[in-house]
Amino acid sequence: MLFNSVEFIIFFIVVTAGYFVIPHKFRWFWLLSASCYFYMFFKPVYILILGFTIVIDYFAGIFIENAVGYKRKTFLIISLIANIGVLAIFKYYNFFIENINSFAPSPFLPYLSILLPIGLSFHTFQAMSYTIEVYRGNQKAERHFGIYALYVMFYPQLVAGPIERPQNVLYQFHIKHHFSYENVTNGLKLMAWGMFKKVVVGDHLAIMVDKVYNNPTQYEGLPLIIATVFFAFQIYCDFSGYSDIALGSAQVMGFKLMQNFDRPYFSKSISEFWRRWHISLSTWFRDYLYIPLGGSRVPYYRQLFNLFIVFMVSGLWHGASWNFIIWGALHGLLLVLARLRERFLPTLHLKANNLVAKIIHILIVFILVDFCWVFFRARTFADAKYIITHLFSNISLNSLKNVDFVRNNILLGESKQLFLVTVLSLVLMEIVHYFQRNLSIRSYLSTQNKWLRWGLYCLLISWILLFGAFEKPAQFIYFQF
Amino acid sequence: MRQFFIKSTLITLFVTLSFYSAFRYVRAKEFLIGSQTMAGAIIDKHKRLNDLPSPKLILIGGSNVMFGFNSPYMEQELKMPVQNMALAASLGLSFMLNEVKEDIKKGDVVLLSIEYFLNEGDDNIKLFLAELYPPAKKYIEFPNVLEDLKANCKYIFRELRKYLLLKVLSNDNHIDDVAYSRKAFNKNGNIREELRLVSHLPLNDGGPIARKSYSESITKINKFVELMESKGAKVYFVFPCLAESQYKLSPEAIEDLHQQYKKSLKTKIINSPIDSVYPDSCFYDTIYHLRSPYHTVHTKKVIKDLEQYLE
Repeated sequence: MLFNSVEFIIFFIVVTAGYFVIPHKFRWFWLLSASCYFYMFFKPVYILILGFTIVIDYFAGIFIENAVGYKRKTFLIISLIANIGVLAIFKYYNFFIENINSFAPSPFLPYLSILLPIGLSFHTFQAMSYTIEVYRGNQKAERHFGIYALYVMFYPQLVAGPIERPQNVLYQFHIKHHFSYENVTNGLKLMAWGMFKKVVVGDHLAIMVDKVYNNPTQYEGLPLIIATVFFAFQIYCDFSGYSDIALGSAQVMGFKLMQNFDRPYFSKSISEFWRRWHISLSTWFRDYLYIPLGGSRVPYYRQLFNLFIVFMVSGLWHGASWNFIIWGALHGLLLVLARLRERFLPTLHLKANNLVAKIIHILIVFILVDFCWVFFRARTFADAKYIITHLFSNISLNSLKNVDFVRNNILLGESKQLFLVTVLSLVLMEIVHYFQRNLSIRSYLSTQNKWLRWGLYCLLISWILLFGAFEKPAQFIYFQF
Repeated sequence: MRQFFIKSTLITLFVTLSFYSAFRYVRAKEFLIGSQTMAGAIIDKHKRLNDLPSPKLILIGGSNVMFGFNSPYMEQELKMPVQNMALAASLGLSFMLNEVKEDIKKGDVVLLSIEYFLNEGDDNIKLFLAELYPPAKKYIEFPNVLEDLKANCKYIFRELRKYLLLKVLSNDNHIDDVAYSRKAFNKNGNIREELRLVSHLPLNDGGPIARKSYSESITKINKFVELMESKGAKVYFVFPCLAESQYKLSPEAIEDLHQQYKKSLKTKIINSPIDSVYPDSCFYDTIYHLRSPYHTVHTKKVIKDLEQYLE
């Protein structure tokens, strides 16, 4: 079920109303049933995979807690193998086979004819964080099977995160949440904001990005640059929009999920970008891969190597393709270079105290991150190579005449105007982000005159309904991971 | 909780009423303009269809039929009235079949020439037509009430958005190609010959045609055929005219559909796909829109194929 669909709105109202109406002791069952329904809306059979890992990890957690000595590690390894095994089969098997077969004169290993279960990487990582935390003693094993299943399957974050930690979420399923006007209205506001990002900005930018990136060789120069810049905002609006709706819909019921984005395109360094972008994944890799590899306790060059490896793995987490690995490796390389510069050429660092220096930093980081996005979005390595080599060829306004948003009627003949509305919405979003650096917009609004406040809420809803891309609700990009 | 319910109900009511009132205002203002577009021709086509005596020949399909036949010539050759009901492929298969069901009588002949892998079309266009011609509401099929509601809401948002962006913000008084207006049709429901004399190359196309199962649509056509036969009418199928360049892009998919038709369609197929393929220069603006005088060439071929069955 897509968050940007009428079905979800009905589902959300029914589930939320039911949640507050039924007694606390049945609420876990209500939420679990709703989450199963939510997941099965995509492809029912894949719930069996979820069921498999849930059963394994539930018992693994209890066994780890009860066991002593090497047995604890054994149970942890069993759990990790089960989770990674599922990922390996459903997500990476065909990729590995394809690469092995490419070395042979003719393909000799068979491919699996399977579709990637939606959100697989998210819920397996969340499940793994549970057994790891139980093993580390940071979390008590959950004895209530239904609640544990709900921890993995809680519908707001089931298919695209945030990838939660058991310490943050599990206990919340035991707490009785009362209807709170503040939680409900704040949650709804967050959902509306997420919807604005997704359907007003992201999905409209996607039209132009898709046109160019699905056929990049037809373009050169400005169209490629614009599409690449737009993709940076498209993916941000798509993914952070999803996260906002997830956080908001959980907040309405009284649950607090971790923040996944913090205005990442205002970052002044690549490492800051990764503290602000997909926070739940970057902290997952930090806690469960980078630190176990030695963290900052190993020699300096080993640290850099580990950092690079972690980002390559992070790339692979996103998808089974060399483009994602290259994307991850590029980020790893940028971070390594940044660390080397900090160590050996500290004087090169611009003092980011004044506004101009801050803007320069932000722009440099954006350009670097956007360059990496080329690999993330391009369908093949050859496409990515073409785009990069043709970004600056034939830079002229005339080259824009080839772009479909100017030449053809996209979106039922209103493309040019809608394009302007999209850009205006994007600018508005970034203005809101800019002001959010020092204050919470929601808190600020709550102090304003109620007519102004409600006027703004009505305007936001109307803006979404009028300018949202509802013709064919587009799937969220991160669902594929 | 009470406070929340009151406020949320008020805001929902306010937004819903505002949108609906704005929509009604816009539609009332734009109705005349809308009725003069190509879509407005549905009124004229249905009026003539109602008035025609049986036996008559009724042409059904998307715009390939609207451009591809010379109905007055057909009337003359077949010695029966001919009504071309086609408007656009985006009306979808169900709409096209539903809109003639009631008007077909004993002895009538239906010639079906639908575009390759024609789907259920665009709800927005169907709802727009239903506004211009209210009986068309019953030609629109939705799988359930929710889909019906969704389509209507999307239509309202889309029309308001169009009005706001094109009329209020940019004062766009764009005039459609005259070949796509209500007055472009002759009395039989074809686009008038003099309006599509020149070829506008390169033709608009939808890219290669994808091969897929068409069984659901074939079932719909078969149900329609059964109903028509129970009324004493006959249905024939003819492949749509198509530009050669498009045919060459997807010959396998087209042949696959041909085989699906041959296997499952419960009506006579009077030609084969290649019989309706013409050089690109014979087309007006898209791969399905024949220009004058090639529509007469196509018509002659179809009459020749059809005659053996009519006799």
